[in-house]
Amino acid sequence: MSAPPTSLDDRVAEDARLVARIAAGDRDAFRELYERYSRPLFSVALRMLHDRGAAEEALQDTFLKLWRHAASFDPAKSTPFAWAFTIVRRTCIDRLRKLSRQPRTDSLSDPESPLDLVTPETARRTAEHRDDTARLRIALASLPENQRRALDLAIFSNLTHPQIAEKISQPIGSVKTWIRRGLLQLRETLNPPAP
Amino acid sequence: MTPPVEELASLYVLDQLEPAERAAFEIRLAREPELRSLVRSLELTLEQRIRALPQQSPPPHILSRIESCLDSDVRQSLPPTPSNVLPFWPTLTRWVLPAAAAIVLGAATFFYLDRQREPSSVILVVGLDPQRSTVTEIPLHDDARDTDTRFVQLASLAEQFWTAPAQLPAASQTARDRPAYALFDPVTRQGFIAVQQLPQQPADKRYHLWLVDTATGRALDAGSLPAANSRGLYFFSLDPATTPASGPLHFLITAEDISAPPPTRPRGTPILGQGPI
Repeated sequence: MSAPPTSLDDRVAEDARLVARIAAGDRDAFRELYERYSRPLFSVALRMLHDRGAAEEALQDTFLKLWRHAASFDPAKSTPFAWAFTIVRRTCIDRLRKLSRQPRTDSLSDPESPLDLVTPETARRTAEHRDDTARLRIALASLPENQRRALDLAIFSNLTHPQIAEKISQPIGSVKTWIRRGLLQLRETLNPPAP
Repeated sequence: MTPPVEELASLYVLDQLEPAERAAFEIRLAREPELRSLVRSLELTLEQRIRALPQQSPPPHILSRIESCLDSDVRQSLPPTPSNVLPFWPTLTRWVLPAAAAIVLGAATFFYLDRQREPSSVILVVGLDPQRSTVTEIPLHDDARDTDTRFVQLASLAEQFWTAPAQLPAASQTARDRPAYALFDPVTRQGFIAVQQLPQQPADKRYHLWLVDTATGRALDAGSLPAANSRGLYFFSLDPATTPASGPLHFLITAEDISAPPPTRPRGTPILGQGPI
């Protein structure tokens, strides 16, 4: 198992190399990517499905797709994590449709539960995660409610942006603007330009 | 970056674009480094947002379960027994040796992942020339659950690219005007092929379309192209009774004798690959 990369760019490049190795059938690379991605992707699945068993199945399907589709990953189009997120999100949407069940999007405005960081992870990752989470929560808190809600619905629900507009009874144009502004503002807060 | 571009980029990152919009956006993405940089920064922001969720660890047995499935996949994809394989490649090799380059250059490869591909996607091959072709996976709408709906969406995409070739991914890099392209749905095993400037068919020949499974050497019959048309958008469908391919597929067009019975495997001269079609 390789040493964790240090910067975001390094990590993205390292993840892309892992995907390339997976495409060549490298199981070690697959396990390494699982180590890196399983927790955030499982957390997305739980957030969307609100059912631990269903989230486990969705995670399993997602990693099977990651393995089988690794050759189609194009680093010019997305980062490996964004690619994996798209797969887990679509997998969850498929599962929701099969279950004919709507996600509990009404809970999105609830405060997030305490972090579950008791699993075996390195102290470094834990510390980094807590630090990122604190910054993210500050950034989220700074977003206007409509932007935060539209953004979270776009990420964690099975709704398209026209459906989001319908759900919150707002024009599609406003929803698109809120999503854009929300994401850009998060970016600015989390990654302020160097002085 | 203007707000409309940032808006598109945000919706792209969040997988909120329609398939055609997504494909069009990816064309821009390939051409505009500044846009790629914006998308990358938004993707990293999205990742931070996701990693800030209350992190839950999946149970340890999930990884073992996944690996068991992968082991099973490997067993299923072992080469078929010789009796299942039509002797296509040996025959092809004999007459193709002088023209090997033509076949290699002319066959646009994509992966036929019948069991493996996400059922909500179709494959777009633009250029039909491996030196310049691009292979893209295009997601269908969420409601593409039955054959009819999938066909309607596939046909819509094919027609859309036919009438607006500028929307084809990498279209401008593959041909100065209208490139050849093919759309294929691995689930329904139907597709469309758009050809341009095909050489005139000799009176005693007909052009036949094949999808060749390079893993097994099998050539899957996709039907004959209409005579007399050097350009057109054509529907094709694989026989549902045939075994799905297990490896990369090539598109191949051959000129077959019109007087012979309908071919069960390529025997004629390969046409694809002599230039843009």
